[in-house]
Amino acid sequence: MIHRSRARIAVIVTLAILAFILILAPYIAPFDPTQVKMEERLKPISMEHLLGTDHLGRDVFSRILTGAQTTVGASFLILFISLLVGVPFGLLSGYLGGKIDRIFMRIVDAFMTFPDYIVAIILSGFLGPGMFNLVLAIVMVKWVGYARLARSVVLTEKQKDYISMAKINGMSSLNILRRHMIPHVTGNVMVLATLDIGKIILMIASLSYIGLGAQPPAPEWGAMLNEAKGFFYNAPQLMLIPGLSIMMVVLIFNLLGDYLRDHFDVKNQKG
Amino acid sequence: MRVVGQEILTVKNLSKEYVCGHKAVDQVSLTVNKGECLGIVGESGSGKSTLARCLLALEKIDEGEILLKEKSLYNANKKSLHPVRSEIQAVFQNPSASLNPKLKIIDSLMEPLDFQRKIQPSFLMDIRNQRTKMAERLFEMVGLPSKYLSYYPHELSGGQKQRVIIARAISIEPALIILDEPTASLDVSIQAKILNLLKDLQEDLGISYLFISHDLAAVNFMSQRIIVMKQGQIVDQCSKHDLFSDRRHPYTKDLLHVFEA
Repeated sequence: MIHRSRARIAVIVTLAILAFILILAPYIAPFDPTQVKMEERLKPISMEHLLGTDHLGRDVFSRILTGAQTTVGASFLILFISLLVGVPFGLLSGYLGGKIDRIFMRIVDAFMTFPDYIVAIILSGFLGPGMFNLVLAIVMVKWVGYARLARSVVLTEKQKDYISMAKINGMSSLNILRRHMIPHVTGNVMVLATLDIGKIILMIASLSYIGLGAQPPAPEWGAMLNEAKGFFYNAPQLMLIPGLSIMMVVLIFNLLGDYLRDHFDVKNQKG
Repeated sequence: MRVVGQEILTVKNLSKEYVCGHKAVDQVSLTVNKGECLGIVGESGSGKSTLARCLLALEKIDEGEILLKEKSLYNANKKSLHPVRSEIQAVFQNPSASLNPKLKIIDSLMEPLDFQRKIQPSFLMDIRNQRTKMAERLFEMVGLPSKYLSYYPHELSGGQKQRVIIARAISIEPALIILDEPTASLDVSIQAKILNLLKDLQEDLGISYLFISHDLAAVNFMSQRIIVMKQGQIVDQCSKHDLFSDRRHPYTKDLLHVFEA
């Protein structure tokens, strides 16, 4: 129990720091993240440049901070849109059942046939590289998971007597969904979402790494990795720093996912 | 023999067939009078529960008519079903499934009153706007301490949960409560307590019951009249006192035989 509460505090503290950085990034950043200074290129870590400078003399610390806004911010945006599309889709499909359910689920199946990365790459290819198109592409592959999850929860709960009771009590379908279905769906969806956000961050970073996401000179962690790969022997920190940043953020969100999974299980709570 | 009184529920020639062609309820007619408990006995698969679901307007019916306080349950579109809904409540077999595990007991308990604001039950009239007080009074009526109100369903025993559900069923002072095997999942000593509670509440509130069970002893204890169902049809009906008479249908005698043994 001690370990779990410690883990919880650790997760909350790191999340708070992360949120702080994300919101205040432009104010904390000591330099303009896109300002090129060729005379200062590839400087090692120092007091002036906390994490050194890159091949164009830009301050890496500032780029990591503002890059966090792009990478993590876009992940949240993707997640938010996926939830907004997927959850109501799944709720309705499961609750209404019948023909509507069959049609909805065939649509979902069609989306699920393709592997995530392939769809994202093809879509970005068609729509052209750029952050907006990347968001769109990842939403296209991510929303189906939430639709399926919401639907499966609704299908299990729909059978139970308390839903019959709610109908006997004259509750409208909308009220039943809101009062009885949503609390069941929320817990599951939140856990999947926090586990997913790590994957989405990785996806954004890797697609940016191959040049489909953020376009230079905008700072983005994956794109920074890409730019740094040519200088790996001379300045390995240029790859290590964004790489470690990605790793840590993904780890934090995975821990948060574990924590939320325990949290949403009412059976661990005392009334 | 018929008990004279105001008819709360009238069912005429009700039939319900499932898509597979199995006739779950076949030409059933019955009436429930005010303040009366009508028992329905039958083995598993005799159509008792389907009948209950039809009466609660949870299933569509194929044929026949259901009148609740002289208002039809099935000509009704969704809106006119609403006032009819306030006259009927149910207690099902499995108390755990009848409570949403994610909601606190008070929220499940108050669901009918929260969502049907116009209803003014006589025994809650004076405190209709005080949610917690109403919940406490309902709990008192079914003999539960009010501390359970803030608990979650998994923290209560089966018998306690069934009491919560009974409290919920009486909360809107319906004309009729359908009891579909309300004690089947409880152990024997709790069963007796729940049956006694139901009987006391009926005497106090004058609610009619439709008591569905495969347990002839329980039905005999609760009901004034008894209907025996087999394969979706009513094969026999009699008043409680005539249950052991020689004129009973052979199937009823079979059931009685099992019951005596």
